[in-house]
Amino acid sequence: MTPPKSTDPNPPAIEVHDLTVSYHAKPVLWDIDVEIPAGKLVGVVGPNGAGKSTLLRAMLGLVRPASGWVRIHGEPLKRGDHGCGYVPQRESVDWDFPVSVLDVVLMGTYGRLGWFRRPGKREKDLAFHCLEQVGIVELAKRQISQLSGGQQQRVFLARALAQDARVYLMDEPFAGVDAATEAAIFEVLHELRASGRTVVVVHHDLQTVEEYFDHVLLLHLRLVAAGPIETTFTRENLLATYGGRLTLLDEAAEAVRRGAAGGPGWRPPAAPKR
Amino acid sequence: MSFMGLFDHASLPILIVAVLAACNCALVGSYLVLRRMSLLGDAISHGVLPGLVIGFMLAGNRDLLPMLLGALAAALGTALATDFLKRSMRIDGDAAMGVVFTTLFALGVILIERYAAQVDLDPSCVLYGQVEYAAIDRWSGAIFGWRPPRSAVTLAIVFAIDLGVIALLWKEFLLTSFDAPLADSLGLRSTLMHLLLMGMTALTTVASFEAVGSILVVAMLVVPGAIGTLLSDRLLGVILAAQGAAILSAVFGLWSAEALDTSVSGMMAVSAGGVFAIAFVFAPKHGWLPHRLRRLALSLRIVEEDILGVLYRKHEKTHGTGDVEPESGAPPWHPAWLQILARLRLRLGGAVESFSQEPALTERGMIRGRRLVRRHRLWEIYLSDRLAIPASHLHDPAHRVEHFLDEEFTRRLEEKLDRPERDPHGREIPAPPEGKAARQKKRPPRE
Repeated sequence: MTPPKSTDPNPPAIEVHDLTVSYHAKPVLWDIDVEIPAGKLVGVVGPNGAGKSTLLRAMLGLVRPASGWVRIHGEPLKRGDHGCGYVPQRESVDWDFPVSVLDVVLMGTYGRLGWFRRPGKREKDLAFHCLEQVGIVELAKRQISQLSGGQQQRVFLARALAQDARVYLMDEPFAGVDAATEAAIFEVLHELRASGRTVVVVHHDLQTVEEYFDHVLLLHLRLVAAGPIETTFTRENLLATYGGRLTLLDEAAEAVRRGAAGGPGWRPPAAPKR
Repeated sequence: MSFMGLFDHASLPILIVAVLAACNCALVGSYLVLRRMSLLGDAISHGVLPGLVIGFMLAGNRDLLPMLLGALAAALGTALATDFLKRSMRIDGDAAMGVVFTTLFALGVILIERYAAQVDLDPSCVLYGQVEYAAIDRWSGAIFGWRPPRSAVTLAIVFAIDLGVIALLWKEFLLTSFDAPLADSLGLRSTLMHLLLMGMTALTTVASFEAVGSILVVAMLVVPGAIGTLLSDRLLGVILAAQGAAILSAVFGLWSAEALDTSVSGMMAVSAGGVFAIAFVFAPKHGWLPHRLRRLALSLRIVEEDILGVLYRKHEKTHGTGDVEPESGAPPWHPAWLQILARLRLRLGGAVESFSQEPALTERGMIRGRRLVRRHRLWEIYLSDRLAIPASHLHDPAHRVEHFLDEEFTRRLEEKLDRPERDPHGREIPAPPEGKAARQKKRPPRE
């Protein structure tokens, strides 16, 4: 669905409106309705299978929602570089692929270059600068299969920095990294915020949420709560996110899947508004 | 036949066709292998057959264009049908591919038998190709007075197209191969690139088919690319190595086929397998043999260091100020031949005075031994202090780790532990070796 044009002269960084996403007709995100203010560090928290990665992918325009829409800085999602830097999960790519660290970081500049144009001196300088920022400039010529987990994560972060975006979406950048890398990533997140960027991070470690983020988005198939850490990251909200299975929601999703099994092209209607 | 005979008048056209076909397939094949789609390449190279035949039937002759269009349609059909079946979730990817391409290939064979056998195509030609025929079937034009084989001209054109597309879309192919979601979010559409590669595969397959047959096409789509990934860590390197492997297989295959009087494409495919086997064993970085040699070098270093450790502790016992008995050296679990080799190397490297069971240490050997014992004891302190491991369990883990800590790490370790003087057993920590001899031999152990 195409979102209406934003009339707000100063729109929020990300607006998600009544977003429902289904995989194979089974809804995995129900009616997400949230606004993320610009210039904040936002943690996305929820149990396994809560739809955190799916939410990021929807914000990037990588999945077609069953209903609802997303606007980034007031602009509707369209195919093309809409200004979101992306850090996917580390395991999502083949680290034996025959490219160097620098090659991977340069990929961040491909969106601005568009079709056919090759990265030149300017892009290379930028890539080196980004590698410096994450502290692994000495690995630039290394083949990516020789990197440790933490180094791989830094390469992805440097690549996102090379995208030079206003909004950054990161899928578990802290997962399985060493302490030094965790600190380095944290520092980069702060620098991004200081320069007015918005950073949305899927995060697994509840212990560090309060320390790392300004805002938090509690997700479990539907939005449980969203807002500033102080008022939102409460015991009550956490219990609602992690405790208790959402039996009715599960059953409804299953019913939609079964009902849709007759026709694979059919998309379920959005659930009625709350 | 002599090897140079390959370049005479009768054989040269065949050689050119064979090399061009092999290089063509290896070029798109490199991408198929890197994208983990080699099987889809196989599927397409078989699935094009009915399209090829229908194109031929509609045109009524062996003009390339109608056959090509038919083949492209069939290739796209193979790719899309496979995708559709895969997405239905009931059938997994490999099975979906198998169902689609075997059906199409069989359909193609039947079409040939039924409608085209009398004319020019026959099923065995589809499997083995007719590279010998290439020498007779010449192009109507001429280059410097020489009329190249018709199929060589076709193959050269297709090769130029493939090269051009890859050069133009180098970064797009790179990104969609490595990280398709990022490509999509940047507006470089991965499905478009996927379809383009499928189209190029079909084009290449059709152009090569007639000359070398499907056996060779399948081999050349996969094997050179696989060889490339063994030999290089860069995309360009992989592609160039694959080209080299393709040329090698073509030349050697043709030569051995003529020597043994057997199928050219069969021998080329066998040669490709041979080149792969050689690369698998000898590839400098990823090969089996270099890997074994690196393991051997590591074992040898560990045995050497263990011997030095034992000798140093013996020296400590007789000359040292230590009031506590030194720990025993490494357990003698190393195979005898490795120990002999290590002792030989120690003698040749000037670490010990003689090649006897318990030689005296030279100054150089003393330094290496002292470093090792220092690392051992520092690590024991670390384990005991920070990991609270009981004293009786410290020795073996320290024996394992001591070989992998370099001097820089050891210095940091010492600082972190507040420069201790004695290990948990009360043994003295040897001071770091200093002075001329230490500076001369400033090579930290490799990791």
